[in-house]
Amino acid sequence: MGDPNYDKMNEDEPFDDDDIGVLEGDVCFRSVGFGWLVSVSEVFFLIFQRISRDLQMESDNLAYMELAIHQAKLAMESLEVPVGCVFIKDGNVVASGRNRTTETRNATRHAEMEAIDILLEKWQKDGLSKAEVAKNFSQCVLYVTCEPCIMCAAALSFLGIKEVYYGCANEKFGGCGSILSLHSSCSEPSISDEVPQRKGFKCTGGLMASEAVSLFRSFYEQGNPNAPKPHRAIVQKRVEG
Amino acid sequence: MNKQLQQIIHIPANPPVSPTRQPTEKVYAALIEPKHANTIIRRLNQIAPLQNLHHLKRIHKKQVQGGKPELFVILCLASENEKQSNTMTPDVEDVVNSYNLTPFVTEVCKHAALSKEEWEEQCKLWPTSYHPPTYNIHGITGFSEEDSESVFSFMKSTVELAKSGDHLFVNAALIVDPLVGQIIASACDEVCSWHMGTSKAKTETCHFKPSEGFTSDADANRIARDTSLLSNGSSNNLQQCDTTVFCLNPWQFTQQSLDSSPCYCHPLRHAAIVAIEASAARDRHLFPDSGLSEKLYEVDSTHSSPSCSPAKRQRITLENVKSGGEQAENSESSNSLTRPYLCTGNDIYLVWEPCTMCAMALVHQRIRRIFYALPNPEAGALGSVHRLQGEKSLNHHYAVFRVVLPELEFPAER
Repeated sequence: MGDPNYDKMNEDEPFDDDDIGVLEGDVCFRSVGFGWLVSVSEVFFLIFQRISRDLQMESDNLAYMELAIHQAKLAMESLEVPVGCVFIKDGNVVASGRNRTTETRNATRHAEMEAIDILLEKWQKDGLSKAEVAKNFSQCVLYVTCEPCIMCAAALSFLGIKEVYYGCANEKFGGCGSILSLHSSCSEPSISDEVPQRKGFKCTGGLMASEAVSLFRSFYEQGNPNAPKPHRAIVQKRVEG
Repeated sequence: MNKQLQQIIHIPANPPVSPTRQPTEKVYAALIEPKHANTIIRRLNQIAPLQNLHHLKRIHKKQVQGGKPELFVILCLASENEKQSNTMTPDVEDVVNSYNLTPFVTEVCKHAALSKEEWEEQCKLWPTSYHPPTYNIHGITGFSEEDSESVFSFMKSTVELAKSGDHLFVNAALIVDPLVGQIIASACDEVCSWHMGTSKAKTETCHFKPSEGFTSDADANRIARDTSLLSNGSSNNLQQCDTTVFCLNPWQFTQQSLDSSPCYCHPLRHAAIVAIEASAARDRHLFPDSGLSEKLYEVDSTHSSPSCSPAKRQRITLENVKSGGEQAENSESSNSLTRPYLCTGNDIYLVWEPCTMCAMALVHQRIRRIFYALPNPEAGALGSVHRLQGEKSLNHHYAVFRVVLPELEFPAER
């Protein structure tokens, strides 16, 4: 609980104005006689409920990111750059993926791409229509140990994913704020009304960033055996958040 | 643009900056006697070096009609703040006084030119030096006759690949090894025809019917416009496929949500991505022993001396495996057989400028040069919307060229 990123997430969580409106109305309506006692306790109950809901969400977030970290560790065991991810839909893990660039000799086989392919195969096998597949993606939340690169961020935007949580920032290739901001829906003002609608997604960084960084660190300390010839160890990775 | 000519245009890493918009800096300059030029310059270089302005030439030679050329010299930087009039150091004032100079303030370009065009414009203000990009990717400074022919020929093959009858419905990609002129991989968009496990499905057999809400929206108009323009306006045949080149509107997957036919769709299988996959498969096929060498490396690393770097060790192991147990000295000479790292040194030809996803995939796969025929004004990442070849933080940079083919009917350019 001493993780500074933990507190950061609280700040990012916008306070729900609707809840306050309902609560105040409630208090006014019942503030005659002893009703106020009931309503005050109700207020406390609702606040308590809200806090516990937030706490629940946070512990869920951490649990999902743990799964992503586990995938990253699997990548590391196979001498791959340690990045892992999970896709969550309706609270369930629907796909997980890890980096496979070395094994496939295909540098585009990032964890996200692996998991997306699993999802598409699964939904095709289930006979889902294109509309259903698109709807499913719009309900998916991605947890990935490192900020999606420009390629993956673009892909996630094409698919219309709902939300992304990532661990550490990716200062060389990051497509969710570090180099480009492909997650924000209207980065470019549209000049023509024929411009395709860009899909954005909510994106939060810094979830278990230190764990993700330490995986990178131990990977690069052992030396990346798959880097091209003039390689140097990248040890320092700044943590966002 | 002259549509009669086929040509190769380099798309630079930075958008060309209009010279009038290049940032400038104020400096003190003065007219000097040519005979004093050497001594004055030597002295000024000592007492007022032009730090961070190394691209500037100290001397500006102006030709005067019917007379001797006039020499101007930069004395020192002038203060940005005009009220603070006296920004010359005593040393510089000394020079001014001893040679009886009349300093005046003039403007010079603040940054070194990034292209020949910029440089030519800069020199109108005050002469600068220009160093073309140090990374030497063949073609930036022009193509030989032979190389141009090869580029045009590969591009034409790519366009043929994308054609279905007279129509350009899909993007196509050709990965080429330019040293031997060999095609490494070729692919078309496989977005609408993707089947699990079978990546060889042809795009022509499109499984989609036009969706219901499709014809009414602006998107449909755009696609119809593109399609009809590309087919010389002779056909509005949208029955074959309700989609077109995926790099042009990669978001269409989320937009046409009324389609209730079963999904045979992989919205990310753009031509470049499929071509990369094919080149990787070829790599695995041609050098199947690499996986073995990794296992050897694991064993190796625990037993060999710690002074040897892991990367070096792996390479040696790989060579040993490839030379089939030959003597170590023999494997030294077989360096040329070493597996290339991904697509290092390879070119890719694409009909359309790739979208952001594809352009970044090509960075990852270490493509050396990208040639495309048609720009992608709404989603292109090589100059249109983004310019990945100019993102300095990326660990690899390719050179980008547009190949203009007169026989291709262009969509309206904006």
